[in-house]
Amino acid sequence: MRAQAVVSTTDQFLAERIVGVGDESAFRELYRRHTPRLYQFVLRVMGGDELEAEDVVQDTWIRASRNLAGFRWESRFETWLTGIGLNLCRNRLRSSGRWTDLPEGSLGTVRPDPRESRIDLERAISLLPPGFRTVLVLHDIEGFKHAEIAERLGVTEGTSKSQLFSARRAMRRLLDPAGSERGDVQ
Amino acid sequence: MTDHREHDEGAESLELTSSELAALAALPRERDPGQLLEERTVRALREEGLIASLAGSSGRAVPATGVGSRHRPWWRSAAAIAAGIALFAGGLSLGQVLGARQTVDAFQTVFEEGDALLAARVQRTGSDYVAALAALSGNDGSAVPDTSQALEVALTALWAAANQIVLLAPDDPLAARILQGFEAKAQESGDYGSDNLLLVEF
Repeated sequence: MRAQAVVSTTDQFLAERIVGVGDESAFRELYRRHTPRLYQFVLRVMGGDELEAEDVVQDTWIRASRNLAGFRWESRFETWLTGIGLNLCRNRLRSSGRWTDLPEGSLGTVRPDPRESRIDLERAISLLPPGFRTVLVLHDIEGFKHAEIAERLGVTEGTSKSQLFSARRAMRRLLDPAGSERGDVQ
Repeated sequence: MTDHREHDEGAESLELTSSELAALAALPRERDPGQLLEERTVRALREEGLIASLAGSSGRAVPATGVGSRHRPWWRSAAAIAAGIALFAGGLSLGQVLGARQTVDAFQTVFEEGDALLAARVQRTGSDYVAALAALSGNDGSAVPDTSQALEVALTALWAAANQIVLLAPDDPLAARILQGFEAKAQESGDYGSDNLLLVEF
């Protein structure tokens, strides 16, 4: 019995198969590798709307496949894919008038449903205004630096930091309205 | 992209508590959107020509060696479809030409058969005419109470037939003599003539 070496396929190899011969099985492999993470990210940025998140994920793969031949592999494929997904999320939120960079004073409008005495973290994030939510997801969950966020969103680092500050404060209000009223939050 | 949530916040940031950091870290990083989205995405890519169709399979992993793929690039599929359309169009044109030729032949055959049919029809009606006259004369054994009206109809039919034969063959002497006999009879009795022909429709 002859032993066979299992050679794992790299993202680049799969991408070259897709670009070179339109290999469907290579695409499926690449899709299955990266979609669960992409979908979770997009779902959070879109505020938990599953149907919209699915549309964005599909569009992300279509756009990525169109531009796959031009990808230089100087960064991770996953990061590149997330960037495409983020842009599509922003475009979708903007086109529907939901992407607004809210001023500080408007944070008072971010309130949980009065029937919900306490909500979980995931729901609190979904209730944040899209601009704040995106920065918080990128920084506090995905681990991007402010410089990277600023580059991706086309804003200054200062704006990114300011938005994160506002996002965290709003999130705390949502998670513990009573504590916020007592002045626990800075 | 590194984890720097506690150190990259700047003076404007709001520090996260340890419990908040733990809660954020515990959030799931992955979620399966389901098989339907994969199929939908694959179909969309196929329609865009970005991937080729994988016949008889649904998502088998690509071989590690990457050798032996059964897929064709999109342009080959497009070329195959174009060739198929050209072949179909060529076949259609050829069929139309052959069909037209067959139609002409078929019409020719019908016309040729039409002459024979007309002759057969004349023969059949002529036979019926003679048979009816035979019955009229009693040669077939049947009883004939009054023959005058039937005789008039028979002569009129004969006269009309002679007129048609003269039209078909103006130089035919027999038809001309038949008509001359009718004219002589008409002049004698005043019943037949060019001015008061009895028209009988058959």
